[in-house]
Formats: sequence, structure tokens, C-alpha cells
Amino acid sequence: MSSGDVALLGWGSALIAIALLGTTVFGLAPLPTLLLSGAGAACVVVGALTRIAERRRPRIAGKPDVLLRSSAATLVVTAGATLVLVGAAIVGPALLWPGVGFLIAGAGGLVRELRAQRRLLRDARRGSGR
Amino acid sequence: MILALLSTDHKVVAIRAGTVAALFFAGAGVLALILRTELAQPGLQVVSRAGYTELFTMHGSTMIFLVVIPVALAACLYLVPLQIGSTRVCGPRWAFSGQWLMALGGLVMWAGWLTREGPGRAGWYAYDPLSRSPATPGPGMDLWICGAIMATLGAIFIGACVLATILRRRAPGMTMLRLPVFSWTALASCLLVVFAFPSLVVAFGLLLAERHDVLTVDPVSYQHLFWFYGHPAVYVMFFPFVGMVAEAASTLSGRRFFGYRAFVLALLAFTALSMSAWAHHMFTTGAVPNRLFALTSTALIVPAGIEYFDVIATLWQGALRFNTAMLFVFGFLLQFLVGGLSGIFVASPVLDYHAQDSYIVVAHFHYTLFAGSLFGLFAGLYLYWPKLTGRYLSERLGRVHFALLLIGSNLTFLPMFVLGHEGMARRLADYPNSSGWGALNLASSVGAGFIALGTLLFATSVALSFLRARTAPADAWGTGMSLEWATSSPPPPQNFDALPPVRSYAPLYDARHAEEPKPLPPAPQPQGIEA
Repeated sequence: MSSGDVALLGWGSALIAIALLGTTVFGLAPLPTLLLSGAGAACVVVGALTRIAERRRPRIAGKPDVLLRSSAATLVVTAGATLVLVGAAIVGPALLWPGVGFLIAGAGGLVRELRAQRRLLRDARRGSGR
Repeated sequence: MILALLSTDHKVVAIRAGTVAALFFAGAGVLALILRTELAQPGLQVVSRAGYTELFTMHGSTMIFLVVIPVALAACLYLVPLQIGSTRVCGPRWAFSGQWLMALGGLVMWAGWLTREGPGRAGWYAYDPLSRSPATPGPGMDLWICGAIMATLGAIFIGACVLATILRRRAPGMTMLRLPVFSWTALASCLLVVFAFPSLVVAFGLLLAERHDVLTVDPVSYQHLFWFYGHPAVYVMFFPFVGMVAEAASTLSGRRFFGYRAFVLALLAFTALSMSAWAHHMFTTGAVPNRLFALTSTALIVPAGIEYFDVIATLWQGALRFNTAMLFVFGFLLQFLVGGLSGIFVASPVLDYHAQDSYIVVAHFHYTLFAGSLFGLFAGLYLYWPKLTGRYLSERLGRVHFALLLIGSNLTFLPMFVLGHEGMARRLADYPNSSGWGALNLASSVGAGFIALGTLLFATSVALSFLRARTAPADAWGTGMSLEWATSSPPPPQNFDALPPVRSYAPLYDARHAEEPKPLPPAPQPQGIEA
């Protein structure tokens, strides 16, 4: 087993098989059948995507990579999402709108970070001749 | 300091997650001590009945959502890239965000103590209709639900990152069947996190909507959604610690892990069955096919037995080093056996009807999660502390720590089996004097004190370790098997300066034994000549 897709495909199929067994032999209700087979199907899809990804973009040793050291923007987005959730569910606009502000500011920061990261990677690839 | 809070290095994120979990562990431990003080003798001495309900809800939910699951995932996040020879984790921002979501979720959950009606108090399962607004009014319960949703989303983010890292960032030569045992247990845990945990987000989202009169949820459907998360969560809190125990057993006995392929197959079967056993928590509802879930729950003993056998066979005839980590390995093997076997009893619907909502269940899950998983965690911590910090933990304090936890956990949880069998129901703040349960409850409370002492001692040992110089070499025990022992202790930001070739699941063992001169082949025996 050189690739991870086999484990995922096999495991997802096992869940679907148990769900089928439950429905046909034990009269499992629709919701639990859906939960189990849905999880299995999702795993099979991820396994298939992994297989496609392995074929299209095989892992190459020594390929230039960027090591992200820190990300303030991600923390701002996470804090914003927290404020939005607590604001929407409990406190109200007093937290909701500042949360939206945090989300927007964080998203802007993320775009800047991703651009800088892409630029670095491009320069590194040029430098290594790939 | 600020860089430590903002760092996206998987090792720093994992240590941060572990530190936050340790703080919540201290909080949950204090709640447990108050609970045990209240139960030490009949009558209400310390808290009211309502206060007791808040305490056990917050203790249980903190331990599960904010301590054991985060620690299990933090271990995966730290070790997996090192074990598979990767410079980083896939999607570092997602892992970073996941860790902060868990931390902020914990704060939101605990903010309920500041509200007038108090925090969440409907149990860690928040059963519907008990958790609806009329039965549990106030914003504390809403904060509890929001906090649990955030912590679970955080777990999903980290789980997805670790899973993607295993699938896409393995070093050259690191095929799936060369993954170290811990990485396989991490993969199993992350499968459960990614494919089972979303159902809790849905369940708690529906609950929140129901509390605000947006819709109505069918209680049995809610239980399905909850336990579809809740039962796999138990294995997320178990598999990484089995992996740590397996690594400790292999490293400290100087032997390659026994029965690797059987272990991997058993682990995948274990994971699939554990996803399919959730409704054994619902036997007494009468709304599930008990025979199916009894079958899947009982079948779990087969892969569990294979894993046990593999760990014991690894130790068998090995050059065992009886340090603290190894003591915790043996503690785990013995105590988890009690938890696991009592689980097989309650997997039988007939016995489950007897044990339902009694202290037998409390004893069972504390034997699995505390007396079992926590011992596995400590085996891993004592093994990997030199890798994390470059420093060793004190062996002398470690042995006392082990003894205190061993006595404490058995003194606390063993009497609960008897109490449950005699009819003591869980979640009760008081019991009648005439019940005769006072002595066993007192013993249980004294045991909790031993656990608290052991935990304080471990905290002291950790603090003292930072006063020592960094002396741990890359292979801190000299018998490391997998790639994490090939890099410096602690590892550099890029994890590795150079990687040894990977030709099996124990590349360092291969490298050590390749250096040794091969023994000469035996001399040919003369044939047909008799002396």
C-alpha cells in the first residue's frame, strides 16, 4: 500500500457495508443508515480525490516549499468568527458587528499573506530552476 | 512571547494546544474534587443539587471537549509530521485556527459561570428536551453549546490537517505500510474526527435553534446525531494513546513493533466498528435495533485483542528498560483492560438495562478514559518529553507520580462498580444514610485526593525539568525506531536537516543494525560422517 487512498476507499466501503447490513438484516431506521453510509460515502470521495491528486501532482522530494512562521490574520479571522457566533446566538449586535469587522479585516490580511507566500514560492522555484 | 502565540509551526501549535488543555484539566480537576467532596458522606454539605448538576456537566464537558480530545489531537499534530519525515503540516493556518477555536471555545463555555443562571447544566450530552429553554433557561447553556461547537470545529480543522499531511506529505520511501504505529493511530483518529464529528456540530446547531424557538428537534434523532459523534469521540481519546504506548513499548524494549500489518488491519477494522456502535448508548430508548449495535459493540473486542496482543508480544523477551514511561505502559495495559472488559459487559443489552444510568457506567468510562487513556498519555509524555524540550523528566518523581496515580485511580473508580451494582444512580448529589454507600464513597473521594497529589507532583516535575540543561540527544533513549528520533531535540523549525533512508516502519532500527557487522554464516556441517 504505497498510497493512502486504498485505506480511505476500504474504510469508507466498510462503513457503507455495515450500513447496508443494518438496513437489510436488522431494520435500521433511515437517519442512522444515512449517518453511517453518508460518512462512508464521504470517505470514499476523499479517497478518490486523494488518488486523483496523487496522479496529477505526485509528491516530489526537494520541491521548494514555504514554511509559514506565523499568521496574525488567521487569529483575527478566528476571533471574528467567535464573536459572530456568540453575538448571533446570545449577545446580539453588540458582538455580532464587531465580529463581522474582525472577519473582514482578517480576510484582508489573509489575502495579503497568501499573495506574499505565492510570491516567495515563485521566486524560490525560479531560483531552483523548477 | 507574541510569536509563540501567533506561530503556525505545527510543533508550537501542538504545545500551545497541550498547554491550554492542561489549564482546563486543572479546572476540571478542581470541579471533580468538589464533586467527590460532596459525595464523601451522605447529605448535602458543599453544594446545592443545582450546583452539583452544573459541576458534573462542566467537569465532563471540559474533560472531553477541552482536555482529552485536544491533547490527543495535539499529540498527532506534533508527532505525525516528524514521524513521516515532513517539514510541515498540510494547511498550517487551519491547524492554527483549530487550536485557537478550541481555546476560545473553552473560554466561551466557561464564561457561563459568569451568568446569573450559571453555566451549562444538562450533562455533556445535553439531551433534548432537558436542554431546551424551558428546562434549562439562561444564556449559560447557550454559551456552553457555542463553546462546544467551536471546540469541535477546531478539532475537525486539526484532524483534517493531520489526515491530509499523512496522505500528501510523506517523505520519499515512506509508503503507507511504512508509517510508524503512532501515525497509523493518528490516521484512525483523524478519520473519526473528520467523518463523525460534523454530526455534533449539526446536533448542537439544531439545539441552539430549538432553544431560540426556530424549530423543534425529535429527541431520538438528536440522540442519534449526538452519539454518532459521542461514541467515535471515545476512540479519538483512545487511539493516539494506544499509539504512544506502542511506541514506548517498542522504543524502551529495543524491539521492532510486533505484528505490524495485523495491527494496521485491526486498527482499521476497530475504527470502522467504532463508527458503527454508537447506538449502544441508546439501548434503553427502545428506538434502535439492539441486536445490531450489540453485535458491532461486542465485535470490537477482536481488533482490540489483536492490538493488545501485539503490544505484549513487542515487550515479550525485549530488553525492557523499567523507567517511568514503561511503568505507565504497564499501568495502561492493566487498567484499560478493566475499562475495555467492562465495556463488553455493557455492550450486552440485557446487562446494559441493569447498568443504565448507574455508577457502573461512570466506573467504566473513567477506567477507559482516565485510568486507561491518561496512563497512555503519561507513557507518551515521559517518552517524548526529551524530544519536546531537550530535557528529561525526573525519574524519581516520575515513579512516585506513577504510584500515586495507580493507587488514586483504582481507589477512586473501583468502588464505583460496586456502588453501581448496588443501585447508586449517577448524577445524584446525595444518597440516603441507610444505603450503606458511605464507606465506598469515602474511599472513592480519598482516591481523588491521591490523583490530585499525583497531578501536582507531575506539574512540579515539569517545572523542575526546565531548570535542567538541555542534554537530550536526537535519539533520546538510544533505541528510537522512527524518524522523530533522527532529528535534534527539540526539532528545528523545518523539522529535519537530513533524513535517513526509509525502507521499513522502523528506519532508525534499520540504520543501527546496518552498521553492526553481520554475523558469519554457520559453518557447513559435514554430511554423512559420524565421529
